[in-house]
Amino acid sequence: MGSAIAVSPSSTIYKGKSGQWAFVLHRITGFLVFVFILLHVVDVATVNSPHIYNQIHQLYGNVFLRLFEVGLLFALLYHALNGLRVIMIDFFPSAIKNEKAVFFSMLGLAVLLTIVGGVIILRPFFTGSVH
Amino acid sequence: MTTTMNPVSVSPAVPAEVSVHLRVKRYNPEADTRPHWQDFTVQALPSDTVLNVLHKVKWTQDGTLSFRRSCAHGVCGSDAMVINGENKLGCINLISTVGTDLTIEPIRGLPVIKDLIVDMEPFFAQYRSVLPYLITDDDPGYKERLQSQEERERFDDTTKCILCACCTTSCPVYWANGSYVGPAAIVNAHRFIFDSRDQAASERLDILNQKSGVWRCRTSFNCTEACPRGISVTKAVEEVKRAILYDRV
Repeated sequence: MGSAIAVSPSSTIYKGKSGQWAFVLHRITGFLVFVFILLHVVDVATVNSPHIYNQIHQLYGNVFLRLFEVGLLFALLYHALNGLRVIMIDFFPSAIKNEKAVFFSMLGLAVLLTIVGGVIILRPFFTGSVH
Repeated sequence: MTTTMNPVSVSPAVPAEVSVHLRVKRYNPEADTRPHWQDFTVQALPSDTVLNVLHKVKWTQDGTLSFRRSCAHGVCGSDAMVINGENKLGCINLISTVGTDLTIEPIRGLPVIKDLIVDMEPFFAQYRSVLPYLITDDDPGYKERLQSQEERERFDDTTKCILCACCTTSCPVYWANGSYVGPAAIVNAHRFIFDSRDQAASERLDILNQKSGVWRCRTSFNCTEACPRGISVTKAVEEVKRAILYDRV
């Protein structure tokens, strides 16, 4: 059967339940957090040239980058909380039984904390204190 | 008082046939360079299984449609397929539960030979790699190897496996990395690791402690959702992980 080929899974999406999407979201948010760390390393590396450093940080004050930061906050929170969920699954059998409930609590907590953090991050645009 | 009997209500209800629409992912290695979809419509009873419907297509419409089946009663594990996006056995899922609009594909992560038939050899090689048989050093002579009910209960869940590959081919890690032994192999290792009569638990734990072993598992629970035997697959994988971690069965 030399001509057998592997079917591309991209043609249809496998209908996994919350666990599959928890895994996918964990990968995506992990990548985003990694990109954020790279960006952060670059901006901190410019600290010896205050001119560039200040320019970069002024750029971060831009509304789009602030919104991006809210997204990053969610990515960070989700990745951290789902990471705790995975650790719970690894160590406590009861977490396996309640895996879905644990997932939705963690997701809910991540969304809630993102809203709180988002309000703080975006407040300057509502109070008009943006320069 | 006379009772008029309505013949319609008295005769045993004859279930009406329904029109079932199938979309099957087909691949013929002698003619096709890549898989394609083909549509079929057949009349079937709501109590018919997906396998019955595939048989109707094969026997009355297109004899070239290829799929595996043996017992047709959910025991042999031959007819695992992706039905409407989920790994299921064709023989134990009724039209009344899966619906009349069906999308059927071969299971993922294994090379397709033809239509719904995949090459199961990588899957069975992974199964064999975990030494899925009783290993003992002692010879009990002409006596049985006794076991308490509690000791038997310890691995009862994982004895149910029929090697249909529903779990392994639902695993996102397995789709991306075919060298991962996969949940089915781990389930069958679990069946002997936690068997009080077996003496090769540490050997199997060493095999599963390798790069392609249990640590590839990312607990997506697709295996547990897919298992037609209702095995708590993720739970079994986690028990093997902990046995390795704590070096204790």
